[in-house]
Amino acid sequence: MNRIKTRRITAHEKKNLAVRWILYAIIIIFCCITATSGSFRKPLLLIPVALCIASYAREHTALIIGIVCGLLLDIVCGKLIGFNAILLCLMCIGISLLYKHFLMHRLLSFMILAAAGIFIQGVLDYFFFYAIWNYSNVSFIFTNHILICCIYTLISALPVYAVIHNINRLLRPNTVRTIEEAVITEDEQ
Amino acid sequence: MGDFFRKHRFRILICIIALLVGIMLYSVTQNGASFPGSGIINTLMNPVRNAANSISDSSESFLSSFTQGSRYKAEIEALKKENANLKNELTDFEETKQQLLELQQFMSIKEEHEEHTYSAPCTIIGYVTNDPYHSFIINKGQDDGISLHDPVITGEGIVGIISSISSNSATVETILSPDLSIGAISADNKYTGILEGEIVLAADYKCRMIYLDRSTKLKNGDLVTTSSASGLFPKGYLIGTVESIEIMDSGLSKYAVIDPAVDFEAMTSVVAIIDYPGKGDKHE
Repeated sequence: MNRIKTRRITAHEKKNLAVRWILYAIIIIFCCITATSGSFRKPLLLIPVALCIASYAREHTALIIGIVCGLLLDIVCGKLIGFNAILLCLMCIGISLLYKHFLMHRLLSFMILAAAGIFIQGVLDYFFFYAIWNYSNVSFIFTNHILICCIYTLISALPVYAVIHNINRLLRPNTVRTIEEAVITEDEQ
Repeated sequence: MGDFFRKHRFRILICIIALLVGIMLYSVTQNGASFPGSGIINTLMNPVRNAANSISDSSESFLSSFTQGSRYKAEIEALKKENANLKNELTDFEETKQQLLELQQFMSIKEEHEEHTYSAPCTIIGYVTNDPYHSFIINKGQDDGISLHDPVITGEGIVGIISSISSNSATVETILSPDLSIGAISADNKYTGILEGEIVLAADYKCRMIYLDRSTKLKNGDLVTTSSASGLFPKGYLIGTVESIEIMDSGLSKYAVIDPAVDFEAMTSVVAIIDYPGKGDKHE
């Protein structure tokens, strides 16, 4: 879907844009800090956050978000630096393109894409960091660890979507709304 | 969407992915030293991590009173009686006593191993996210004299080794990890083996001592300490107690399931052994 620009971005909208990105930064930092707190299992919040932000962003922005969140995920998870960065970078660009051309912002579509992304990350993490090293009982890691983390992460995608969707609903400039969204907004009014 | 793949943005994407692959390869060649960027991020995040971890610990202990209610109920009844005897004493007596105990344990270890040099006590400021082997991050690094592969202990026993280090923080890989192999010997110096982690046992904070002879007389409750066989750890530090003896899958030898002396869940501070005779002699 081609985006339409009807007018120049006003000072108020520029302020909203800045606030939106400050909020994104706060959310990303919060996700990083919670990830390293406590030895219990927890969701990898950075994955749904990156995917959700990417769904509202253009390709180049999605690329940056994917790399930043991926590198942070590599650091907090103690993984090889760059592994999650490459994965999230590709996923974010893919999601950005899908939302730009084919999809509308709906919870169900996001959850399906997030589930796919989270599962792919989990499987690749399991394969590269556990399975290929021939540890004994390695499948235990997948069933009792990776899958549980994936489920936690998928569940956490719901509040993440709610927060980021509302940030965009309130602060996203009208000039970059798609025609469909504009029509829906008109109908609501 | 096809436009995207034809535009220069796609070429930029390919270049960035190539750069990330380069970073990955660079990280591999660093053999445990933190990537420069991660060192900066760790430095920035350390104070916040510290605060977040304190909050998390408090929340965990608060929530556990709900989730493990039945178990705590019996304990509370017993503690009520104990509390009645202690109510005239100072409120911070237990905390002070605990701190004193930890320091005494550290002191006794220091006295036992006078030839070893220890770091200042290091506080645990965070955990490696969802690590099945419970690796954690401490608030001391190269600036405090700690180096890569230094052994890490508490007053109770051995914890693991430094697996990654930056100037002011370090990651500790625990003895629960199958990537870590340490020479082990029974307290009576009769039976030797290799201590290593195992995936299923790590879930219960246990590890195993492998390559025990089939005729071993090691039994439940026996103490196991470090030997200097691997070069990773100096001799004579308590690892834990034998919980059971099993036969290896190959059937050629036995292994002992070890219950580590260290309580990985309750641990709040550790000490690194920064120098000891024979350090690095047999590093893998």
